[in-house]
Amino acid sequence: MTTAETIRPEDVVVGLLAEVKQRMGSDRFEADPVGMHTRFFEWRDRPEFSNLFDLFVFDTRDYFPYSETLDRVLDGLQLAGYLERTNPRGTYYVITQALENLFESNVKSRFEGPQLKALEALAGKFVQGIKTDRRAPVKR
Amino acid sequence: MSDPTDSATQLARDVAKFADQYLGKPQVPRTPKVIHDALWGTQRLHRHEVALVDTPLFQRLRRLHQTGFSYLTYPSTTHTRFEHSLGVLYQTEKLARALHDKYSELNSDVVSLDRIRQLRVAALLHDCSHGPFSHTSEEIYSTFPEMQELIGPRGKGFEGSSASEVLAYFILNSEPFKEFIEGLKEHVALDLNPRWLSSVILGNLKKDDPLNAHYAEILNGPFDADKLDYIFRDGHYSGLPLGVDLDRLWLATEIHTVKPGDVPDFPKPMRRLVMARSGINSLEQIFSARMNLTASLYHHHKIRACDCMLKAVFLYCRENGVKLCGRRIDTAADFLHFTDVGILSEAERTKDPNVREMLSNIVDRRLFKRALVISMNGFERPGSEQDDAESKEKYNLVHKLIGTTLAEQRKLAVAIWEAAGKPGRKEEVWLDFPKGVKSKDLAITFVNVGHMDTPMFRTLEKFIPIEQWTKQYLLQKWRGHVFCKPEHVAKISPAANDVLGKIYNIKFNEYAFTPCDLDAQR
Repeated sequence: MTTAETIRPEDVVVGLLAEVKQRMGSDRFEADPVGMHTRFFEWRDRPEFSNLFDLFVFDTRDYFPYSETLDRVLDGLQLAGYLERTNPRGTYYVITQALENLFESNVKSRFEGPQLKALEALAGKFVQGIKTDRRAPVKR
Repeated sequence: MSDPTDSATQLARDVAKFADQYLGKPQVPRTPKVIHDALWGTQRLHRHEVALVDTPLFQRLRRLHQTGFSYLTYPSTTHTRFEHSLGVLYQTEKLARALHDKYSELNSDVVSLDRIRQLRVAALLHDCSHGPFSHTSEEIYSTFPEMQELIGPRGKGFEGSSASEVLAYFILNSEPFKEFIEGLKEHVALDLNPRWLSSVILGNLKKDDPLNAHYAEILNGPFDADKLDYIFRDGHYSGLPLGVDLDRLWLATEIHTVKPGDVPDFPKPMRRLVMARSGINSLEQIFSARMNLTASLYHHHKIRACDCMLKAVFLYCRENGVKLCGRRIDTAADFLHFTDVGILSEAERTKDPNVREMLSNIVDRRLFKRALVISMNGFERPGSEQDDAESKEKYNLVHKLIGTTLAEQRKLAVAIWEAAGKPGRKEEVWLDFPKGVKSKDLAITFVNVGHMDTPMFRTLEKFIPIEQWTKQYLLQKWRGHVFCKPEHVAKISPAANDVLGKIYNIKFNEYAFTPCDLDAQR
């Protein structure tokens, strides 16, 4: 059963990354903060996705639209171990199994049907725009 | 709900009234003036700059402490926004002049003397909109509806800006300020445009005029004059030994036009400040100094406790219609009329007994104490000791707390107060979850790994583990607190344990209570 709980920015990012992992055939993608912030900003203006981004704040004064909200969520997911950044260079983000589990157990129920569809569509677009590392194992 | 445009217009009007009251006609002296500073020594101010410094708008900064309540913990940090603004003028001149000299030798006018004169005025004015105890009052008025409509999600024209930047924009684009500038031009040959000044101070120039973005970065960039002054000034007056190789930084700064293709996702040509490889150490020192200041000064628990006590005063006055300095707190613009000195003097002048007591407690340094400390080591998640789920959950919780809004924090604080049997007033229980160290601006700074004439750009995060450092800060040094009056600690502490423990499904351990003075009875 779906509920109408408030969708928080962390829910959107967790949902998106869980869907991305399903689609990209790898568990890692190149860490490109500029590209990621830019994509989120563009999606916010699309009517079909916009209600997922109601709580995101963007600062558009520099060469890319920077969202402190998105940064806070990505940092939090890393500190919590749901999202890892490969060392020593931090080249790739690694989406952990724990993040997928978190989505299934705690986050998915926050979304309504059309929002889940929107997340899936976003994940498809996201995968098109990232560099993945297919040498890496899908299961960790 | 009111039309956001109307709110913005009303706020602009209120700010213009303030500007009118605090500017007047310029009094231009016959000669330039020399000013001495404990940190940077002697500098000369042009006649029009002296006229600006002599306005009530600028003199008001003498009555705003640069680091808020830190002087109650670090006694010598009594320096003000006035000194800082003059220091930023000095740093602006040094950095801009170094760039002018470097590029003049290459027959380039990429940093012109005219622009330096304009930048100097922007430097003087960059903090003219700060409220009492700067960021402490900003935390309150940034939540006001008329301000959120401008700076919040999809904010009208100012999304992502700070609340004080919005006020600065309205001051500099007000009619009284424009008239003041026109008045200056009657005495001094000047090419000053208020809109350009506000674009530099807010950083909008990067978007509006990308081929002149480097000017904005001198005052609003990753290693700008503002940062260079406050790092040295706050370090000097607090007695914390910090160091940045400024000579190297000035010499190693370059200006390049970064184009699409030079850097992934770069949208259009933009002229920016870029650091030569030889200046990386200076940037590392800036970041390290900022981490040190955050841990030792800005996030010191006593200073945070004072901040909470003052926020309590502001919220109490707004909710109950109590006047401060003869003025009700209705809009963000009201804070422009307050200063640190004015607010603290209300401890003796106000007729409201609650405000009198709350402010007297600050003035006499009867400060809130810790009832609970939240850190990575301070709690456990029941049933998760066998795997790494515990640490994951802990980190996640701490990050969640940092993201809570003021309204959410107040709700939790009142719940704790009620669970404790309502000792004292609800304004006397506060939760405080400071943000981490800001790092993104430095992380995306461009480093030239090529040559002056054939540059190649990499971001600074490729050379310095900025992201890892900021995360380590959160893991090792970050502390959140529940504060209350000393005589209520014994009641608030167990109540905070129960309320937060239940809401977040956590069990606090001895690290959460050891720093608290549970027997305090004053």
